[in-house]
Amino acid sequence: MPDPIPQPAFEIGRRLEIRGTDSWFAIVGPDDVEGEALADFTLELEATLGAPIRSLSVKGMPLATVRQLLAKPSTDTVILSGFESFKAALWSMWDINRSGLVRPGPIVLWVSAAALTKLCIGAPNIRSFIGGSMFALGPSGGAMTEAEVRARTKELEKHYAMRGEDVIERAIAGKMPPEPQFVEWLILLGRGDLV
Amino acid sequence: MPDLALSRAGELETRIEQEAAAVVLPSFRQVLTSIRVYLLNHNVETGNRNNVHKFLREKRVGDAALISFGPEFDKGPTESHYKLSSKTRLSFGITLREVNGGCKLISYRFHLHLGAARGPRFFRFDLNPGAHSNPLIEPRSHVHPGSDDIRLPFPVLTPLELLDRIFYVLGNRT
Repeated sequence: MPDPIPQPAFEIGRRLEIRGTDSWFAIVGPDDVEGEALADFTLELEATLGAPIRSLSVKGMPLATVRQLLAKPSTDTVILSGFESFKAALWSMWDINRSGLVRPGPIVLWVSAAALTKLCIGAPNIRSFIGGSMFALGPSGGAMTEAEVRARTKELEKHYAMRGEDVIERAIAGKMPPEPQFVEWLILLGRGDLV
Repeated sequence: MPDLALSRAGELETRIEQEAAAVVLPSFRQVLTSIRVYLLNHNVETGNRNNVHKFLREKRVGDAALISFGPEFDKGPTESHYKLSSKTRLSFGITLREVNGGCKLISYRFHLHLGAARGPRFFRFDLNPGAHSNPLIEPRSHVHPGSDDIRLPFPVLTPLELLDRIFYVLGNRT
């Protein structure tokens, strides 16, 4: 199995829109696949598609229940997670009963790399449903690095001819100029408590 | 400066304060995501190739947070600006405070540099974190119509409402 191509959530959402109904996707999340990354991914997908998305953990859930939940409603986009403990026999059972999982709405399987490997081996027919729609979740940008913070504070120091310490002193004294950049400066200095 | 003008500016400032207090945004992650998706969709609509994933940045400290795109000050084109066209560029910074699962605006600055041959060179929309001693000269929420020294009162808008005006009202004026 080739390594899934990393794609940001927005690009995955656009592909979902293009493939539309009856589509199956497998998204390899970060190492901590059951952490908060899934909530962020769901949020970004919802914003991209402009529609609510159901997120279901199938961990410990009987297959009959999964089928019922997928059928009602059957047209929304559903993210299925909780595959990390799936053994080969369970994947095989899903594969045999795959026709009961088929629905008009897209299905996104949220998995770790290890779970995806097991899926490909144990559920070859579901693997074929997914086809080329197998991606790793790529970064969507995010937190400023220390170097970026330093570059911004330097820019502010140069513009205002002030040091960070002066800004903190002014803020503590309640004498901070009421300008947006000074609030940003305090946050960059780690003093969100002063804004 | 007539006292009455100052008095009227003070009354307007009170209304602006009320407007700012009334703006309640969703969680920080939702605000950040909505801005990212808005910019990515605009990129797709216009065929622009801005690297939104690279230049939309965030920093959180406790319950305060900053979302930024591009430099702190517009001193000429940079790679990190959001380009609307070859001559038009945008940079912004938004600060928020998370309260009860939602967010309140603390401040923002949206600097749109226009490459128009006529009219203002730029528009900058500022929401200051607090009131200035002279609200006639510097209302808390204001727009600079092409001059750093001129500040005209402007409604307090959400980030997406501001981006709507920037992209679909002002950004087309090239």
